[in-house]
Amino acid sequence: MQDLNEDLDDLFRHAVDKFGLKPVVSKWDELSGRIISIKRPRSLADTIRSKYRKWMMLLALIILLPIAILSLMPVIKGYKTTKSKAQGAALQTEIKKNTNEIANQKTNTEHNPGSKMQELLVKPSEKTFDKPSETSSMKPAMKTVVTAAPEDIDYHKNERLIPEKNLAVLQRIEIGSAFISEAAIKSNPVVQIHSYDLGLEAAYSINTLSLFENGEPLTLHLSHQKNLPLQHLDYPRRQGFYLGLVAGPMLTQVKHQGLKKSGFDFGLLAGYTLNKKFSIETGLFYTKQYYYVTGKYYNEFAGVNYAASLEGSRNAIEMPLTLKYNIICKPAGNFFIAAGISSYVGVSDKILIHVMDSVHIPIPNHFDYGVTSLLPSYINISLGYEYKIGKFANIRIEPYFQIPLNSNTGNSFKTQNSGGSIPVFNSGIHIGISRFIR
Amino acid sequence: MDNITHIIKGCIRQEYKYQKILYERYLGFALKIVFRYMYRYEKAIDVVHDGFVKLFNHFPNFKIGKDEENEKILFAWLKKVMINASIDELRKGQMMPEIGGIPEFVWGITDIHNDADQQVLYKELVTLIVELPPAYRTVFNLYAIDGYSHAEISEMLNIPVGTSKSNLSRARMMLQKNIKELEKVNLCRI
Repeated sequence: MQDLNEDLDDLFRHAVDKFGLKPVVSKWDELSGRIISIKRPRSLADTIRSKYRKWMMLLALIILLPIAILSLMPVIKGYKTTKSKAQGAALQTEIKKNTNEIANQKTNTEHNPGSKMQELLVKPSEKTFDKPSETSSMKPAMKTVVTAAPEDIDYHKNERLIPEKNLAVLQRIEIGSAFISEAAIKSNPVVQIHSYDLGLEAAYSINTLSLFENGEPLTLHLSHQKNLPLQHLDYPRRQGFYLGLVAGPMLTQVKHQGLKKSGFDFGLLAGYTLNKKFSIETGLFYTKQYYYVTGKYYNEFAGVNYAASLEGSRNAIEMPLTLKYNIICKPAGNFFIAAGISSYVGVSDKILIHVMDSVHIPIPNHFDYGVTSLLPSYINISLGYEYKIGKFANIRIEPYFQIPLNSNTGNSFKTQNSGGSIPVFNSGIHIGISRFIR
Repeated sequence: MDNITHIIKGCIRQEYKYQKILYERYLGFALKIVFRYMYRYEKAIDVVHDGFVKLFNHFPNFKIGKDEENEKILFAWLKKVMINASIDELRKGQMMPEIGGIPEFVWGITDIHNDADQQVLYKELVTLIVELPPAYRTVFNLYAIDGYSHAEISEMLNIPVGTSKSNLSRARMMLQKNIKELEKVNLCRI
């Protein structure tokens, strides 16, 4: 029985060994996706990801942190903004109604030439409504005037509430072909003008105002009222000087030599806005930079054979001059690009050369190097975002990089032996705040 | 063609190129093992792929030996991985018997020195194994073909040793009976 079983097993073993199956089509591509630890040929993206992961995380943090802070600001202002938006919308509806009424009144006047000229009267004592949301209860004839006290009225950030007796702005207002003289306004202060245009980045005056002459309401003819031009209330400022404080991390690298340590810079920024799109900026920044060079690179460059690596640190004062262009202008802020040049003065390098273990001869492995030149050292290129945080102030985030120009001007360091100089590249992010000067 | 030790070393380093070479070289071998257990050709291909995934994911644990031994070690390991993958798959199906026959297209010719009659014989014998109920088929394959002991089978299948022995005995009885029937059919054909 045992032999019979063994014979049977042998028979099947032989058959299993010799039988043939249909060849299988390779499904390697499908299979490889399921292998967890497979090492595929590295793409450029993989290489960048693995090599600069830490820096990318730092960069993401630097970018995301201010964005998070900025995005929380509306929440802090939440209630007021929401309320004012609703009020703004209500008022705008009211103005449209009023414009129609004015047009109708004019039509009536034209059709009845003998009738008394329609006038729009404003009484100083008459408080039309305290809050804009109460407009629905107003009489149509009085809708054009808002006479609430300035402190009682909320307004949207894109609107401009002209404060009581703010004559500076009113001096610019023209009513049709007529011009309200400064003296007249001064003696007859306007209670207020509401101005809003939610669809625009800037605020504009509307053709609703109340003027008083000798305690009596000033009369405005409808024909004038109709032609009232919209006046820009100078927000945001199109022209003018601004100052700012800027700081941020700074990465310095000698061509493909890697990074060991992050530097920083901080300083004062000054600019002049030429128009809505263009600005010129300059500044004075203190910079602290760290760079690293491998021994192989340094030995080849300097014509020596003893360096294992080189570490340098640099203190310098940077003076940039850049032209800034707003690519996208929004009520909340601007996206911009900037390009220009930078000069580095008072450059002081401390360079430490790590010498190979095999080198026993005493070699001075530490030296200082300094240069001061007002000639441009770098071309600056940056891309950034400015977030408006008030009528005149902005917060900016501006990643940048600097490409070295000619050597010996603070963008390179000299080698000891060859007399050549090795160019240094900079990049970083400027985070800062700027404000227009009145 | 790359030396097998070279391929193994590449697979230990988890390199794409060598894993692909090894997969394509031993795909047929692995399928022949799995097919004996799985009955369905398409299912067997899936199981083979599962087995290769496990193999490659654990390849860094491969203990490399002398050049002449490496292929044998690899064969033994590959066989074990494929058998385990098959058993796992059969467990998922709770060793339920399959329905339907084996389609003719799954068969092929591997050895040109064998004549056509022998090929038919091998095919019919393998069909007899594959058509056994899953529990009997698994024990028969493990014991008679792949050389495992009853103790090992009981551990692998999580069954008592007695069950393993009885399943083997019943499998052999079924095979003997089927062989006799097959002989009768063949005689009738003649």
